[in-house]
Amino acid sequence: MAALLATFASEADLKTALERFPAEKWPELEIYSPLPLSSEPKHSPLPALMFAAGMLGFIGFFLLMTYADTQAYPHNIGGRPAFAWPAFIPIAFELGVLCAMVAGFVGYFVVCRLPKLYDEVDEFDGARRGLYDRWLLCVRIEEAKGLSEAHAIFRTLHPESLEERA
Amino acid sequence: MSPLNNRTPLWRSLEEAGGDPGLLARATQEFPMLARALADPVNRREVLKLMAACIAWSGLAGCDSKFGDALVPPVRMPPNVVPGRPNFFATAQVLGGYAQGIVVEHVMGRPLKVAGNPHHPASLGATDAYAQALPLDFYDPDRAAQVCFKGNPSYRAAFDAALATERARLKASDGAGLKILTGNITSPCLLDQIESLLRAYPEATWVSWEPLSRTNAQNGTRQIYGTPLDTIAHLDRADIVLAFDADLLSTDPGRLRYARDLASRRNPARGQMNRIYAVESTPTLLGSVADHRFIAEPSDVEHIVAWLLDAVRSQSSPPAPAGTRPPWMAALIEDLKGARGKVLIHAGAQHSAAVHAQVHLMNESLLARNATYTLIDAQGPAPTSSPEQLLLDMHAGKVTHLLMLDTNPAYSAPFSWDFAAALKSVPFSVSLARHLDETAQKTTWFVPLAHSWESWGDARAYDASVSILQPQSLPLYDGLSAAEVVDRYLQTQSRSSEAIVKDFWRARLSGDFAQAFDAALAKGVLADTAARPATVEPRPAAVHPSGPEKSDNPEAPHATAISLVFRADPSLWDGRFANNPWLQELPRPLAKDVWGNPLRISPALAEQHHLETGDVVLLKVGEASVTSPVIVLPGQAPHTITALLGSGRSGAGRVGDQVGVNFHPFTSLADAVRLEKTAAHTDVATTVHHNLLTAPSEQVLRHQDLSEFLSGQPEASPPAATLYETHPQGPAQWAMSIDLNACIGCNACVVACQAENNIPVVGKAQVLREREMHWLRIDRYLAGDASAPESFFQPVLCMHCEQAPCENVCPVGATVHDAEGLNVMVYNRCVGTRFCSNNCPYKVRRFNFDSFAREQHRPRESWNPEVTVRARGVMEKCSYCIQRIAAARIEADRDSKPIGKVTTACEAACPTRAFTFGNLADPESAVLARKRSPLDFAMLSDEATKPRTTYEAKVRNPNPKLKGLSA
Amino acid sequence: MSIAGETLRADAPVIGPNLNLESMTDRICRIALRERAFAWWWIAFIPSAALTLLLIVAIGYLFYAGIGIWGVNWPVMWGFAILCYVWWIAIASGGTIISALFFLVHAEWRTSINRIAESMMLFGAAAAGIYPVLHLGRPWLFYWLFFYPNTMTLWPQFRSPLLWDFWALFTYVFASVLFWYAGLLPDLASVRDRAEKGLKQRIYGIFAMGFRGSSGQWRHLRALYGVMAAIMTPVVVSIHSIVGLDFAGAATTGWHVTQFPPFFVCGALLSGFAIVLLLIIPLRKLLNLEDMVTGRHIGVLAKLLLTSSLLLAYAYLMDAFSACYGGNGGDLALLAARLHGEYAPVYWGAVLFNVLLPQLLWSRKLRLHTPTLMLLSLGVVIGMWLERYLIVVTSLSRPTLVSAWGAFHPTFWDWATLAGTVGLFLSGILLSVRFVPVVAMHEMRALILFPPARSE
Repeated sequence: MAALLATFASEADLKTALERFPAEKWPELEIYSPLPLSSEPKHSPLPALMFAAGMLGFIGFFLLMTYADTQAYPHNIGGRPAFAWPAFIPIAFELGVLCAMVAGFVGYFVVCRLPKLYDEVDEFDGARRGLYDRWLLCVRIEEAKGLSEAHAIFRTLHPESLEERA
Repeated sequence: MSPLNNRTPLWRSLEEAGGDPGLLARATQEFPMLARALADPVNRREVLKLMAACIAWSGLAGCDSKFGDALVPPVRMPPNVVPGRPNFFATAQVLGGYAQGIVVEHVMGRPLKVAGNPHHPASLGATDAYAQALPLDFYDPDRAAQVCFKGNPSYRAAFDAALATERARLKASDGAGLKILTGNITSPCLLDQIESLLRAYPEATWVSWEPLSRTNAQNGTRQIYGTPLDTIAHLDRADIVLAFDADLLSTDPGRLRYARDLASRRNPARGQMNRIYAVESTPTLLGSVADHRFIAEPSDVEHIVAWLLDAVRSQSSPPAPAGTRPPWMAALIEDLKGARGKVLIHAGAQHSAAVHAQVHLMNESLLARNATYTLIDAQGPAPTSSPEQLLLDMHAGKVTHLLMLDTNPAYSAPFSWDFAAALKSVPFSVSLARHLDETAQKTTWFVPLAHSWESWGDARAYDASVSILQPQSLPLYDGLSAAEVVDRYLQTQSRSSEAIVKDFWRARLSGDFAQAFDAALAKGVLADTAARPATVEPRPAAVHPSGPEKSDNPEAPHATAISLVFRADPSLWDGRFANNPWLQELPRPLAKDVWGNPLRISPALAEQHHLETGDVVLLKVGEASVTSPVIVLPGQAPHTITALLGSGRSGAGRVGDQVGVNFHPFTSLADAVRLEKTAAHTDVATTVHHNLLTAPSEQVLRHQDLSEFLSGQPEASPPAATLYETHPQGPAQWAMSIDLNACIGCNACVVACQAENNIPVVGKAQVLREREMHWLRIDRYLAGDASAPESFFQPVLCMHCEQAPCENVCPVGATVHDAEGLNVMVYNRCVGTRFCSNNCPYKVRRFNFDSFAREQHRPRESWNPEVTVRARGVMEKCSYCIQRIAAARIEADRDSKPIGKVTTACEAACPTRAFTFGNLADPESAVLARKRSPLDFAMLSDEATKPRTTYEAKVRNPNPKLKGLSA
Repeated sequence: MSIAGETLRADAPVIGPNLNLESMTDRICRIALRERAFAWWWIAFIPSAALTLLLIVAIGYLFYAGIGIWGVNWPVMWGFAILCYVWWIAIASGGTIISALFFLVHAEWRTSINRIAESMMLFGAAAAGIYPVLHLGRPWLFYWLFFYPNTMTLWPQFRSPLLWDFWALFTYVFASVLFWYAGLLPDLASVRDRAEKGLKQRIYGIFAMGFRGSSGQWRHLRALYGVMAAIMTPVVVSIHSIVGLDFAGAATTGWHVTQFPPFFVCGALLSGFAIVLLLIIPLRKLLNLEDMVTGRHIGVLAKLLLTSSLLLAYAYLMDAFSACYGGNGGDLALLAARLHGEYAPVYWGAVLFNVLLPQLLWSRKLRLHTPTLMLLSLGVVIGMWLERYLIVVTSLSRPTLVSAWGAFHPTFWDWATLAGTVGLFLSGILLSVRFVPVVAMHEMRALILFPPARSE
């Protein structure tokens, strides 16, 4: 098992490199870039998750307040109806929002498997420029044959630098 | 050296042993008899016996039980205390010598709350602010606890010993040089004792003197009828009341009764209204409820009386008013003559005898006597000497023994500074007082006076009916009653106050004494002791009394001369209540100031001298001068300054000392008055912060004239539209109605509320920061012209709104509604956001900004155990006396009967029955009837709060002929 | 390092020409990684820290002696605590609006200042957040506003605007932190990678939580941040509307006005822009960010300041109008007290600072003249405070019931607490400037690589 890290000066170079490494043939590819890739796929589960959490929070807390004032401990407050639904909305909204935010935040770390303070890629010197000014392509290869093949491809791509680690 | 020399010396007496002369003195102080024994050649067994005995006694002294269980409850109930259930004992409050019946509520044996005695003619169940404040008076930690000799702590036995020698000396000299100074006394028992004292010491003289004296009134009657008489008004019978500087509702002995009678004629929805004319130089309670309030300088008042007398007596039609005469005279005279036999003319006690005489003549010629008032023989024998004479004698060294019973001339006498000096030339002076007051500090002997709740006594009411005063608890401090002290002058072994009172009445009560006496105690008043009307006729000689020269023009000479008038402080009386924090912090009815007595000046005078409230002026009367802040009070006569008596104490105690200025010394000065502005300015603490002359809007306080009321049909206020369905209602529905026609602003309810609900006082500094705590306040409005404003009183307490704005803004639900319509405050739940107060349109909520309750100047046992004492950071407010409702509810549940009548503290105290509290669910309830009154209205009704507390609109009955002339 | 200044050019590009990924990242990271802080930083920080200390003392004494030490009284039950709370919340909300709302509308000028705006939001919210607890009569019981099972089976009272406000604030502070942190993650990672080996690297490493810029991390982060921004925008509107409802929800004279919620949001905008200007004008100098925060930014912010001040002017007019139109005696009396009564100085002060003076910004020259902008912004900050004073204090001191009129006199401790929170805010800002990347680098990179078409 070995890994190659190639650094490129621009997103364009990275793109051309990617075309040479089709995902089905190279399953273990990872890209590191200083900013989101302009043409990256956008899909993410987080928006849906946050929406669900928000809705759940809103409805849940609305019901909780309804229960509290109509079932658990009904009071005569200023002669107002026990089920004062308009008054419940602000709190339900705020707490729904809170649920959404927390869900999204936690969800992010779950889907990205973070925190992850150490990663093999940190061993490459080039990795430190990943969030600086270089676009990185990291390839992990199982067998020696693949390794030489990858080297061959990279040679044609002229990356800024190429590192290999066992 | 021989061992024989330094053997321990044998001794035979203490002096020898200790070689310490002070030792014997100290021993004397502790154990007099032991000392005597030691003084004699000693028998050691004797000494040891006495020592043992003394030690035993000194222990026993603590558990002295004077009264046993001789208290008699007014109703037939087991005399033993039921935990949690109050007991009630009747007694009386004696002020200026006159009694007002009260019933004291005891909780677990502690007297805690005062209510009026319904059986007592001067009370009819009502009380005034002073009576309501009695509990703090009783528990006052500053009350003197021990006998003093020349200002140093001494002890009772020493006093008795000294008195014994004095007694011998006086006996020898038939009491030459013995003077007795007392306040006004109506107590039959004490009077009897003083008489026998005077009999025993023929040379002795008795001086009776009261700072707020009523002698002018009696002298007035003496001029007309040849004998001193007291006047008893029947305001309920008078269609027209004309009052000159009235004190009928403020300091008159019958004030509570008069207030009730007056109120019975002030609400047109319940009866025929009377008409009140008030002529006065400074606003009075009667003046502020009057239909016509005419403002006149004090000197002018005398002229007006004289003119009226003329006009009233002249059979012809009233003389056309001369230019100088007030324009309203003609109409007034006409009104008076039109109502012969239904008129009552009254002059305040401070008026001269001449004025009183003329007033009596007017009443006579209007056939008022025995119709609207009666005359009874003045109570108590006339004193045999005058205070001035006493002072001269003291200076002349003719006084060798001065006995002062519950009087404080060194503070409250017109000649007080002089009196203090003169006391030095009296070799043996005794002062019996509750505090080590200004006088007591100067006398050779001071003996603490037992509180009227600690001793037995008796006193007469304004109509001479007698009440027996019974003690309400074991003495907190070891004091003596006046009777007990006088008794010590009469015989060697003195009797207890109980024995004295019982012995006196045993001789005078018919039938079985024990039974009759108990009945008297139970009822609080001795059956038919009220005086019969005196059968007197005006002496022919008196028909032309010596009045002021009638022709002279009143305006000219007095145009700019400032006159200084004195009034009893509405909260402090003559200063005897100065150490009572409730009363010190009680907003004075009209100026609403607390903690002090700024001079009342008119807006005109303020303008003339460029003064505003709080400016300090230098008041000069002849030689004498004093600096005091002023307060601008609309309704003052332009050139009249009013000084309130009762402040400026130096011997009152920690609460009352150095508050305000003492004006007593000025009361006798007749010199010209001058007013000079100084650079100084002090903060005058008042509880009103709006422009003085802001007329209340119709939304707040409805008022109309009688004519409008009679013509206009009562507008039935439609139920306010609401989005909300009404909630399930409980068995009772509590509500209150307040009759603004009855309220005279006397403040009794405010103190009653404070006493009942453990409301703390906050002190001047906090009042200045607007943090007063009164749950019940009396809003005062002055409308119209600053020189003669129309005034309104409006008691404001929690309205217990059915749609309470306070409730739905509390984030923790600390204030909620209960099923009986109460807006309840849950102190324990309150976190102190104070939003409820912001949202209360009536601003009836009070907040504990500091630990006020903890800082109170009162012992723990004086709090009402039925009411939570609130902590810092908690909101509080009127609860409709929920503790009383709870008690009634418990009783109802126990006996499984519908809940009975509940009386709130304010309602119980109110002399005019302005408050009516009750259960709306009960169709017979009085409150329901009151709410059906055409005058009923809700304060700030457009806030749609549906308050349970509503008011009856104020109606005035002005003389149509005087429209637009004056308030 | 004077801020007295050159007049800027509004048509300046949103970023300087000679700015590339490398130099930009280096400069930003260097600020955070400096061994020793700037001299000016200490000069600013020490007094701020001292004020923060004063705050701690004031709070300590408050808890010991109770709110009696403040000037609040009957009937003015709310004083500095609430008015300063509203003031701070407005400042914080302004920051959120810049960073969230203008992210959604892809305003390119927002990129370089959103980090400062967010720190402003954060520490503004912190300063605001302590007040509601302090102002309680029994602060140690504040947790009774939470829903939690208790032996009395009691619940909070949900009809109370105060409770709405409590939860709105809670949500807002919490969400602000998450929003801020989410945007900060990649930059922390950059700093981590720039840092020499050692403590700093570890610390930043821990806070960066292993963000490495892998395609997945970027993709989810962009989604997360987008949704968060989309949520924060209504949240900030809601918190300030609810703060407005604290007053509008009451029946109190001067508060019972339906326009309060939007009125308060306008106020938030105004004070937000003012504070941002107050912060970035000196900082761009002190931190040499002239080519990242250019005349374009300043110009836009100045225009927004003007706009929001016009919005506020409308609110003032409506306030006066509704009082007259309603014709309620209490409202009219209050209006009179403000227009020509004892509160006239406060009222006209607010009008002058919030409405009249900002009108100077119609002049393009003044819009770009930094000293003028600084002074105007400072004026607005003061003016907004006066406005809160008007709303809270004067309304309470003039209830409909004349007999309950009162006056409010702040005490030393009122002022001490206010000054203390200012110290807290400044210390927070300074610390974040010192240790947190002051510019969102990953967003700047996008701006550098794909400079926007000149929008004029």
